[in-house]
Amino acid sequence: MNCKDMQNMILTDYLDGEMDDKCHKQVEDHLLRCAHCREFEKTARQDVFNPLVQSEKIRPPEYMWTRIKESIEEKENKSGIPSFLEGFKENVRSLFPKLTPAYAFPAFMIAIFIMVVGNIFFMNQPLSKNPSLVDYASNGQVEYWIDFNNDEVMEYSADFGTKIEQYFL
Amino acid sequence: MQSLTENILRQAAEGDIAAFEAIYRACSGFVFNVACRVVNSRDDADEVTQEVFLTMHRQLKNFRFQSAFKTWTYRITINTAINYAKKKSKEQNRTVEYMDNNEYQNTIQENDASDKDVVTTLLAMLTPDQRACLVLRSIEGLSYQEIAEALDININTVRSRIKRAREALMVYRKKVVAHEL
Repeated sequence: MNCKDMQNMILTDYLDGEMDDKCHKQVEDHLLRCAHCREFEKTARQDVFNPLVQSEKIRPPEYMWTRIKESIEEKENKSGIPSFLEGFKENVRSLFPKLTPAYAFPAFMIAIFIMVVGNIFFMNQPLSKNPSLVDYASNGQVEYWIDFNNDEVMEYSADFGTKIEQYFL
Repeated sequence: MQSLTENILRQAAEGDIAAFEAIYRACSGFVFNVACRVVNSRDDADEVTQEVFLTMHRQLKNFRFQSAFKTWTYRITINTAINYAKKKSKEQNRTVEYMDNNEYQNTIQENDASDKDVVTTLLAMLTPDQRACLVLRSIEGLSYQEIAEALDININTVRSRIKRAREALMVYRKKVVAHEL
């Protein structure tokens, strides 16, 4: 390993104590031999590592809990939904995690595509290729002509019960 | 961060505000400190901390106890803080575009003069992602693995962010020393 590799390790695993014993010993041995890397390690520790590790922890201000509590209460009052229904709402929402506006346009385009393809396919389908439709159509035609020639049926079927119709028929 | 019993977490999930206060007492130190260091401002840290606890209160019902509560808290805290810092940084960039260059330089100098905390000055040199990794490691003492889990990134990405952050800080310190001489 060259000095650059060593310095990369010094900046991460070595300073942070994340190295296994074998690697740690390798770096230590190198530092004993290389003055340049020794200087690098000293500078890194002093200027960059120690100030952060030794920094004081900042405590939250006293008013923080009061603010958070007020916000929680305000939100609960605003929603007006009891907590058990709120849980139900969350569960329903989690069933559809992908329903975001980003998917709306592709979904719309797919729907349009299906409609167009479906329309072209069914409109171009010849009647003869669908025997059930042919049977249905021809049966309908036969029934119509029978009814048309049957006066009784025609009379019955054409009677709309108005005076004008009775006069003409 | 202090450990909490499963019973307290369940009570808080059911809406018990006293149990939630116990959670706040156990985690607020970590949350506020991380928020402060990542967003690098106390006022903004107030807002981030509030947001973190409101998210925790809302999401606690969905917490399945399969992952550790600590990791869950780390994740919410660090993601909220990073998002806030990135948003803030974008807003600042937009402001700089409208400000006269000299005016902006004066603002920076005023901020530097008023800021006596070395850590704040150092962290200000980094991107929010680098800052987050460095804060979690050097200030909060999390392992690389814990940071990777909290940020949902590869452990080598954690290594590389820490390395780049420290390199950037070393370059900055060198410049400061050269300027002082």
